[in-house]
Amino acid sequence: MNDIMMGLLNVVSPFNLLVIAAGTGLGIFVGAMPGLSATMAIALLLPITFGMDPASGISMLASLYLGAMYGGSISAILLRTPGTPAAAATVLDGYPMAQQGRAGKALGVSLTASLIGGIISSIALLTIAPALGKVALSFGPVELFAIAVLGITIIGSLSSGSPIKGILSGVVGLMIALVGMDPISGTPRFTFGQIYLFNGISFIIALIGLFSIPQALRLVEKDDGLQKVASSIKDKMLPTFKELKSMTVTMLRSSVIGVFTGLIPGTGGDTACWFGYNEAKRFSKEKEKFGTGHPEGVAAAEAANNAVVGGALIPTITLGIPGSAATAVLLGGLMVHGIMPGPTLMTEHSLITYTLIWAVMLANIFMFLEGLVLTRAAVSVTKIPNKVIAPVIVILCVIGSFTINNSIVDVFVMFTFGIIGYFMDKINIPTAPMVVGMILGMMLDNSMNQSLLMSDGSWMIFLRTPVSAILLLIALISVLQATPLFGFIKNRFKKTTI
Amino acid sequence: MNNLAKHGLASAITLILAIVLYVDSFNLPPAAANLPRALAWIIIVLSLAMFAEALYKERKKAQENQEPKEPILVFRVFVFAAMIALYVALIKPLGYFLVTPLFLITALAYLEATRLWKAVLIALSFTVFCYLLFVMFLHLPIPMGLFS
Repeated sequence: MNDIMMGLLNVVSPFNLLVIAAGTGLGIFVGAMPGLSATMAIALLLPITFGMDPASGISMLASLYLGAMYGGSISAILLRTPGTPAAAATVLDGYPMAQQGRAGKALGVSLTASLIGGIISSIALLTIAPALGKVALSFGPVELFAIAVLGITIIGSLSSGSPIKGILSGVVGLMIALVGMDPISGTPRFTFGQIYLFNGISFIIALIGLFSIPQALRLVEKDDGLQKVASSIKDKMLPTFKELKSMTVTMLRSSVIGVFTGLIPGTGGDTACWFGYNEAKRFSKEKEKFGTGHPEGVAAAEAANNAVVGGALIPTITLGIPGSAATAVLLGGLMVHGIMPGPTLMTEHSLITYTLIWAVMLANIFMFLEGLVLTRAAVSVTKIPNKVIAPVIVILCVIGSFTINNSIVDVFVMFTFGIIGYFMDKINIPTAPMVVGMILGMMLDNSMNQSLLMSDGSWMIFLRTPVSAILLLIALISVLQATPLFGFIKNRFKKTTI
Repeated sequence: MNNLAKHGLASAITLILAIVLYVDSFNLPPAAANLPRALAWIIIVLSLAMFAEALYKERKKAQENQEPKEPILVFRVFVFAAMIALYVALIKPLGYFLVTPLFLITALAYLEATRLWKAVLIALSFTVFCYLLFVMFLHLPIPMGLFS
């Protein structure tokens, strides 16, 4: 309880309130720009937090994440182009509302639903994370190994596209994490005589390249085409009490969906918004109104995607497994300050962790207030041409990667990862599992070696404790469900039941 | 390059990477080599599976009529990537203040993003903005080159 109160006291300091407000505002603008993702924005902003206290820096990044979730709905509603993938379902009812002259109302519903989704997920974060953290504290190397294996298989197999590619990306990430000095034997591993590699490949440098350079290259791949005309906001934004009451159940349901979707590594706002929207339609008495400019459709999608933020932070904070690409980058924000992910976040670094949790809660309120003021201004940023944004992203990447260690080699490494990420994108290999693999690599290696030392080299140790055995079984199932064998068994089962 | 060839190339690269690392792991003590060897085997299996999956999808696609994708401007992407590489290579010796505005002006002009005077204005104001943010406000280093 003391830690929770300390976190609250820390978050309400003037500087922290300022960085949360700044992060949220920036997130709204970035989210509103089609073509820019929240993950990329967090990666680019990461270097700015180096000079800050870790709690302030991570709070700023989390606020940006939350702000971007709402910001994505601005261009979805006004331009029919989702600012972020998480706002894809918002287009279905948001844009028709704007076409009917109710753009302000659509944005107001989106803002209110985002607030409710965000607050519910913050409450879930504040209650579930400490409880799960306590459980995680009892974990030894055997369980940590199983958690790392589960993290990489789930994020790989649930990534969009082919599970084979997702898991391959994750395993390559694990391999990259092993480059450098081996902590057990003290011998250099895969350094090929290069002194730069003795410290390993910084995953912060890699993620700046992987998430930002491909984005910059994608922006110049095609001509901007005709400038889309944004619908103007002429009506009142805030929904009436009656309207709010009619959408309450939908917003609550979508919020719960968002929290649970966020909890599962590999799934994020893009999954949650469709899940929330479909469930709202399924339960609605006015199904036919969905897709024609129904405010409930906007509320369902937006409550779900904002609720993902708190949900995704739960496994990130308690277990050190990022729930999404954006939380992987957030974890990078902690690692920059020498704070390693895992159960110690709830003990040794509890002040930072609880400050972050309260910051997420406060960022929702800032998002609502700033959204009311900034939404009209955010319309103008949607008009910035992609071809102007692309070189600007590159400059931020170069400065950002240089400032970490004051090293130009880091900039070259960042660019190399950027090019690799671009080609991965071209054949639909997701980059997020690679980053997660780079985070979990050392944890996997250390916990595996410690466990094998404890068991005199017997691999059966991983099946002796129930927690580890269950987690590894889930990991195995997550891999098997991605194979043709699973489809074959499913078909056979269907045939026999028929 | 068609989709199958792209996947073939990616599979070959990851396969070679895994083999090289597997072979190199024999220079390591057993404790340091356990995980890399296991991961190398997994990469080998998944690389082959990725190619097999691409092959299967290619055959399936041939039977279905698919809408053609909007083509991308490959040459423009290549030139832009080359500009970035040059920017990265020159920023250390020449310095942030010289190379950054030059990169921005050249890139904006090449991409025909805006008029030249606007490009110059954007380049100069963004260069100053980044300097103020990173150096003056956050006290972080930037490569000064000739200006150090």
